[in-house]
Amino acid sequence: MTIFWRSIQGEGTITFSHYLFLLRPLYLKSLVQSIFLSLLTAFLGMLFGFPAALALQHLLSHRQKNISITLAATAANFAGVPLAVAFMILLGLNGFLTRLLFHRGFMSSVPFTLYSFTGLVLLYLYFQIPLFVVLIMPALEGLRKEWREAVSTLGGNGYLYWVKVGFPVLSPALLGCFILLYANSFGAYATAFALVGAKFRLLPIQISLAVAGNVGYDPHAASAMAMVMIAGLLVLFSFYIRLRKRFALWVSG
Amino acid sequence: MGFGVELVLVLALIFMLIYILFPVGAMILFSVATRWDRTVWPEGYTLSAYSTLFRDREFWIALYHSTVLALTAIALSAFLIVPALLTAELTLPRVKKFIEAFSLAPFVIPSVLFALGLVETYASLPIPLYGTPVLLTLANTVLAFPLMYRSVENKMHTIGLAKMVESAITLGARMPFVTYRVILPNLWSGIVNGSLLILSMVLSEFALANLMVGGSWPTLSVYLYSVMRVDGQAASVLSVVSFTFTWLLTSLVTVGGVRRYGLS
Repeated sequence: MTIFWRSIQGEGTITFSHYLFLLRPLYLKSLVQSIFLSLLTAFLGMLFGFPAALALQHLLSHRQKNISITLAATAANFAGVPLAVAFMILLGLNGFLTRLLFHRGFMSSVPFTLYSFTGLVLLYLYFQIPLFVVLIMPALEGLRKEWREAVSTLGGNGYLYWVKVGFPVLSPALLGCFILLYANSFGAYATAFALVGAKFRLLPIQISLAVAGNVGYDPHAASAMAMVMIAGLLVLFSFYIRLRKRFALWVSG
Repeated sequence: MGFGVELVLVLALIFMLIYILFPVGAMILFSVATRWDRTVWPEGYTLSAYSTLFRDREFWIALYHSTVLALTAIALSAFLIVPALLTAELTLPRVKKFIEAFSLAPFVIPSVLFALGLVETYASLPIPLYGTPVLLTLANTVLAFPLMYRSVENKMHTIGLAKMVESAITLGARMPFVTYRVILPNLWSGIVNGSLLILSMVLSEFALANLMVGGSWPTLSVYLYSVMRVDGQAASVLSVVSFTFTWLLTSLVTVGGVRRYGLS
């Protein structure tokens, strides 16, 4: 509430002029970068996570599955500063893999640096892929064996089953997980802050700078940005709750 | 499923496991290496970085701060959530929807924004709360609510606690007796589950701690952030400790990730 109030507070009057700050190139760019990064990592997380989850569900024994899920849940919660440290050791300027490629002469120059957009994507995927697996598992377990059997009794194959039954039933759950992944990376602050600090333009980082930074202290702009973020996330979550109800209908009914 | 499809699935799974384990492996190796910046593999192995860390006074102070935060958040959320949920369940079913909606709020509002709101609110108030550990504790408690709520609510539903309490009261038991003999023993595992989730959340929480109090009252992750810029090896040791801890807690609550988002 205070955020909202501050975002429209002027010199004794109510104004929406602070929202105009958002049109400044710096903030606009942060917003676009944030959205792009979140969309990309959510999409890639789903792309890699879904087959992995299927493999877990159908090809592993119960014990193997439990171990893998515990590992995935750990990775999904292992974000922030320690994650940045781990990736710096592996892929940083003098990281293990970086050196390995140098020494063996696979590459003459470093193809990318970790302290960039690509690096952030790699880091975010570290918790996004496992998070997707952990979130989609209950839905996969909700798919009934009978449906698959019914399809094969009626002469359909596995492909037909997925096109006509599997994906339509799962689609609300998939979309719901996508939204959670998106929101997860949209609000992620510690990981990016630890890796690239203030120089990278992401919305959460810009907000934190505007509220606590020495340079560019501007609580009004911070509040305006915050309101935009909250509004976007609220819309997404109301959508998510609706999706959840729809999926619950399928699995129980 | 055809062989080709199975191959793709297995490859995806292996890819994910490698992706998870590789950075952790490098981190562990780095933390025990004597020197590892000129050669492909470490030149030697030592545990000295660990003993250095454990002798560092600041590490213990940060650990102490984080532990205080976690324990307070656990105690406060348990004392507030359990009675509230029970009352709502027994007498006010309509209030429950309200509580449930509120329990989702910390997922909707990223912690950076939460910190911003708190700073804005309390900085202008005459009460000297702004920038103190007390406010940070309260903020962490708010983040802890949904974790405790989910765990306790799940437990309450699976065992049908409301009916138990009702029958105990019908049979003439008094409220203190019901609390100690019926409610607490039955809900205990739910409370423990929630506490483990909160512990792991508070220990790795960075945004709130950094923005609200920062270096004046360092928690573990703030301490790690300051160490990271000075000494990479100490940072890797701390990260190994942190990963091990997260892993232990997650193993104790196998479906931790699921509960966290309330997708059950």
